[in-house]
Amino acid sequence: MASTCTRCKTSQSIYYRPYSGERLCASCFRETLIERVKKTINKYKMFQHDSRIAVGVSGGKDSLTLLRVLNEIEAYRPNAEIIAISVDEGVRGYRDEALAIAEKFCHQLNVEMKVVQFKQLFGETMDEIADRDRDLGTCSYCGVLRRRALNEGATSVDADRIATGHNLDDMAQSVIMNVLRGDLNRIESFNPGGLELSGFIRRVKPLCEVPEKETTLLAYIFGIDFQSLPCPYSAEALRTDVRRFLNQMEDRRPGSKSIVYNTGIKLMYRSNERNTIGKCLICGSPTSGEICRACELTGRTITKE
Amino acid sequence: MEENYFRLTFYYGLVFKLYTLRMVCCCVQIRVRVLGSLRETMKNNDVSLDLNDDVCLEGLIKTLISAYPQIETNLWDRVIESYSSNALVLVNGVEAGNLEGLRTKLEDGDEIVILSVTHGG
Repeated sequence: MASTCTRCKTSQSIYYRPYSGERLCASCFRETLIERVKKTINKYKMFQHDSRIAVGVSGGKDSLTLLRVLNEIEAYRPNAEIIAISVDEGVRGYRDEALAIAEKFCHQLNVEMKVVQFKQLFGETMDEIADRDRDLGTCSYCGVLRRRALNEGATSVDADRIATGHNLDDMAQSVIMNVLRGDLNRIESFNPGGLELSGFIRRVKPLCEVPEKETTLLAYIFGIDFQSLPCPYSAEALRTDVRRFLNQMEDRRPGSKSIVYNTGIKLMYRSNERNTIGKCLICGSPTSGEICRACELTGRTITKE
Repeated sequence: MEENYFRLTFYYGLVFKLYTLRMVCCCVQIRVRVLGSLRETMKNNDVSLDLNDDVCLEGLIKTLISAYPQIETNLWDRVIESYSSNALVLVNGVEAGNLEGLRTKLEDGDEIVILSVTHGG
């Protein structure tokens, strides 16, 4: 028999939060997470009262939970608007299921949804990229191109913010991965409140302080459909190892993921190495080199008129 | 004719004994629903398991892994000897960590929901 909720002291608790010692009923669990997301939004000044927010919706539990939470929070700001942007990378089966779930959920919430396709933007699908000879892993291509596609989709609907469903686990994994790669320059772009770069819409991560377990339970409480097909190209070896390590640490020492994430935030603020951001010679997007990563990966070259 | 009668009596007796044995040994029936990527790995998202009446959550998960060995990698973490890295488990709507974790005792008619936490992609 579960004990009583330590917050409202009336309902039966359904969840034990190991890092805080709380036992929460479904309603208090939901409220505490929405409060946490609101605090994160305010801390990083993620939105303005009249922001037009493009929510990156993959069809996975995190992005749909984010959409539902933002829809609830922004309902109190009559001038704010939310549009869902889905990127169709062209991964047969996997993306079809995700898009169907996203479409159904957007319809339930009465949120407009726009789909942008790799094929349309870059001339080839992720399945085609995976089949061709390449130097990098599929995730390296997909990550870069998906970010670019999301930016294109958000630009086309005149959004001034992009919100993505990255959770605390994703953020903590990124910190450790950057350390293991010895790449502290990337820690600059770790900012959950996003960076103001000309040509790129500011990207924010409102779920960055919510552990993945809690976004999962919240998705279940919200009645969100769970995607069953994993991405066939998703085996990113380093992230899988780091995820396992952090999960084991969290199990033994609750709160470890938060500590790693907060360390990443401190490193980000202390980072003095600033990259000069210029413009890509091909597409004009912000880049620290001469040609941006998306043009490099898709093999675009400078066309002389 | 007489031979058939004895044969039938023997078979009916055997069926009755097996049924009684099931009642003695496997007294609880637990429904397990699986959501997320584990569902695809298991190729079945709703199963009923007959288990001993003193079964706890750990026993149920191990029985499930024996029946569907392909789910072990995505469900069980051998280092911490738990499912907790990869999944959330609800026992009648209550997260198992809020009960007695792997030692949570199960009863006839209980419903378990296993939610995959990580999802590649």
